[in-house]
Amino acid sequence: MPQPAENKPPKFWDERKSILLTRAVTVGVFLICVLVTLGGPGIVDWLIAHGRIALSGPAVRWVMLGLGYLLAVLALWMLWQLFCLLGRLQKGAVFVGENVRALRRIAWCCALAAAICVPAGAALYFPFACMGIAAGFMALIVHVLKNAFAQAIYMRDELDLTV
Amino acid sequence: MPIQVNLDVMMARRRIGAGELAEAIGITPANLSILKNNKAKAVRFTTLEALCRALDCQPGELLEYIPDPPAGPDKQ
Repeated sequence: MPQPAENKPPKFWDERKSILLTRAVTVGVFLICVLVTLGGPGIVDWLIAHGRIALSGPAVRWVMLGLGYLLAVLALWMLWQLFCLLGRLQKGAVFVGENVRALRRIAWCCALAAAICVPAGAALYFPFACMGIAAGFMALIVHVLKNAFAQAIYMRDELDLTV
Repeated sequence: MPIQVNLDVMMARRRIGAGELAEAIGITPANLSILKNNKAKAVRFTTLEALCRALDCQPGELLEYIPDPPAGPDKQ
């Protein structure tokens, strides 16, 4: 026989903890991104010194750095959007227009990162291509999620005006 | 929307206020206001039935179809 809701023991893992953990991980990844961005020249020099780059020449370093900083800006902005989105979810604001806009921005960030990484992977450093494919796949998934949120908001608005 | 809700007309005929009607049919005054001001996108049969019972009328007296004006000639 099912127990009434008030008699159920508290769950070890719930939605609130899940969002808190995801926010904490987002902050952690944000800090890692900042550190990687600050250490960008060193990382590029290390890759060039160890012969991991397909092309060579003085311009390669600057191209790699430029692409890296561009990707860093996209990643940091995407993580900020994700952090804000999680904050709204934590407050219970799930099906609101701002979440759809945040998901759209995240999808665009992923798509742009894919557009940068795939050619860079083909020309410079192969692991970039793998990152690009992953980012492109993520862009598609987030875009579908964004559409689902938009549809849910539309349906909720319809329901709100059903008397 | 081409469907017009003539709730205010029927309420005036029956001399019943919004608060009283909302209480009689079991919906909130805010929802009754949405219905009265033609902002509703859908009406449940249960609400319509309660309205007809409270106002002693037929659904056709509450709802009216007013076609949209035809669109102007296409510009070529």
